[in-house]
Amino acid sequence: MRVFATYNIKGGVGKTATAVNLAYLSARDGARTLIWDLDPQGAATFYFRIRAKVKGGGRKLLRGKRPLDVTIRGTDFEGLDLLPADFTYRNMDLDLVQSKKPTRQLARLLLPLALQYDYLFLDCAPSISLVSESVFVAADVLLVPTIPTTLSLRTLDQLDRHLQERRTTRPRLLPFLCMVDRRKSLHKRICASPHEHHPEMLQTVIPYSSLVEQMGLRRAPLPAFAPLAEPSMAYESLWTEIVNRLSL
Amino acid sequence: MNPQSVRYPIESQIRGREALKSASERFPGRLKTHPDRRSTYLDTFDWRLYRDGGSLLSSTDGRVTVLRWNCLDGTPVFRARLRANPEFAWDLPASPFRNALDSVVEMRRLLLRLEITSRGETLHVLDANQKTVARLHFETASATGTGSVPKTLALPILLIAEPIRGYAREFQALVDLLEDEFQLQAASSDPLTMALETLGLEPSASSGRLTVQLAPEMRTDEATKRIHKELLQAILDNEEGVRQDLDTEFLHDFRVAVRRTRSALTQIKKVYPPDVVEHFKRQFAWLGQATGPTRDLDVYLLKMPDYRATLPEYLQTHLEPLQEFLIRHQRLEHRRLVEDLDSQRYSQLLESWRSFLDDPVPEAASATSDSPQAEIPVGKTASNRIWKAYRRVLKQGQSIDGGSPPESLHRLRIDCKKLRYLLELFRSLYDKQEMGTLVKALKRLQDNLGDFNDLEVQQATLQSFAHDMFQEGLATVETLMALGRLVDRLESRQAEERQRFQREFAKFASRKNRSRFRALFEQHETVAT
Repeated sequence: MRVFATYNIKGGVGKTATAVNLAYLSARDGARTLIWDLDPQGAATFYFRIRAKVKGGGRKLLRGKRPLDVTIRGTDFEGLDLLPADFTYRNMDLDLVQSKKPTRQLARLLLPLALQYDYLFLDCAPSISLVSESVFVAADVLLVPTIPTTLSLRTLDQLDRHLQERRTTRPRLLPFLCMVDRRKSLHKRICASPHEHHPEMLQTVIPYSSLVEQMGLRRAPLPAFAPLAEPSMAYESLWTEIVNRLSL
Repeated sequence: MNPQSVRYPIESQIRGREALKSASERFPGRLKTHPDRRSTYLDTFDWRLYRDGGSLLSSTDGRVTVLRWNCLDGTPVFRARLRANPEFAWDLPASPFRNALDSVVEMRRLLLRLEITSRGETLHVLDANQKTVARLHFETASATGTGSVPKTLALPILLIAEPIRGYAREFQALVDLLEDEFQLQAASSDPLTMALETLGLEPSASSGRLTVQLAPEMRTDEATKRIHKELLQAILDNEEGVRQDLDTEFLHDFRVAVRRTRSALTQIKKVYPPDVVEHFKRQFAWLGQATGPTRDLDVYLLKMPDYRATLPEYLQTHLEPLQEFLIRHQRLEHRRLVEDLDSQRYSQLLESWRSFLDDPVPEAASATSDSPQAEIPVGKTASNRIWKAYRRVLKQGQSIDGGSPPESLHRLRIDCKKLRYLLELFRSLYDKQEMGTLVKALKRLQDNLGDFNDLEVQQATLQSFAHDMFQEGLATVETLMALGRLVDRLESRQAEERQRFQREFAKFASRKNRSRFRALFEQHETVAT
């Protein structure tokens, strides 16, 4: 099982849309896919029309008292399952700190899933915390949606440096530009040569689109209800590029 | 852990629709009609996937093909989206799916075995968030077999309850409704088996192993004819695949059937008139030879991946010319083979053979004295022949030591082959398990001897290929070097096999196996031969 995490220190950059749409495409292509909505706001869970509730709350789950297995729900799409969010995930830091090696706990919990799924997408809440440290341990790849602004690129830099300082194995960082508005000259300039801003920056650019916002209304992944729309095609090529880059 | 879909046969379309309608009144949801859907079961000629307990189902919307490999009970194993159906396992993109498929179907072509056309309606059971929590499908379908005369037959009408992970309660409610209120009973067989049964197809029919059932008291000539009839059928079954060169195994199985035919002709002595034996022995020998060159080239093409892996990386690409050379010559030889199959000689051979086999055995064959063994019970003949062949193998094998020339191993290989054919032809006369053990033991020894011989032939053949390729202007210096390296490697592998021989033979000739052979085949009363 390969673990992807959609992560950014900043919020509102399209992490959940990325996790939901890429997970959908991976399942559509035949991979057994699971998405774990780690964000207490539960947006990914909402998109799949699943109740954001975990029996016993996040604490039982994180302490291994309740196996992840029985919490998993099938989405309406073949091959795609979801581990729902729960509002108690807001205390995840506290729950983690009480386990033996807090940053390894998440990775440990994922072990029993390794044979059931080909890909796991962790949809993370914004911030940098004990939870994100755990995600860095558990994930093979960090997908970082980045808005083409100076401040966003600076945050990406911070994240990169932070990961470089880690002594243990670190996830591979794959940033990409998203919410790109071609009318803005700064966006256009930055998008002209993506890898100048990060050596691993993916070539695919996700345009700003009100269709992405409609995911909340339609409550479904974008390529499921508008497969031929421009942003859907962008997610398609993003997924293809990721698969090729990692030689999956 | 996760419940599987449950399928309920229902007697009529009307009842099925009613059931769906009352289910939709009970459970809030959305009813959707779906138009005709067409899907195809892929499997090899010898049904390897089905016999492995799975099914490979391909469905297409004209643009994309989705390939699903499920266990027969419906548990999904692999799924992939493709542009078109794969013809071979290696047509899939590199993936765990391909590797797993390759290990089951190997070099066999994935044929379109059954086509299913289905239509119906689905009730998506929804919760308050309009999330699907279970599905109920009403389905009418028909199956079409592929083959010379395809026929289409209606499949049982079904209601199918499909669970969604994490919504066990909702699924159970649906099942309760179907079973308790509608009094439906779950189908006992899986969809593919159901379709096969409907069409009257038997997937085990062409697995290469002889299935003829003999009884020990049967007359030997009668039994031999039965064996020969089954082998003739195997030749006919594989002929079309050989002509079209669908994959290498059609020709392989065709040749095995021809060899077994000859072996039964010569090894079961004095049961047919001598002129018959003489004539057909010659004719089938011709057929064996006619198919030889194509098979040889097939074998080298199958060995190519192994050859590549033997060489250091920088030489691997230089084997490409060999591949091209093999493909070109294989095509040429195959065309010649098809000409032979189109010839009068071939059709007359099969025709006269068939009419000889269909002739009833003569009432008093022994009296005519040209086939004195014809009326002896086949149980006796079999034991007698096998015992003799076995003694020969033992004697020949025991005379071989570290210093014996390669020819002695080749002789032993031929003797083993004869014994193997006899064991296989008469398998049904003896205890299944004991026969299995002995055939397995013999096969191990044969593998060793076969590899030893094969590696020698390969060295000689590759050298002659190198020569031909050079003359045809196909070989660069690097290619010739790669071939040289390969021949070296084969030579040392052959030496390893020679080393192993003594050990393998000792295992075969172990006390345990010897008493097994004795118990099954040794006869105390002498039988005149």
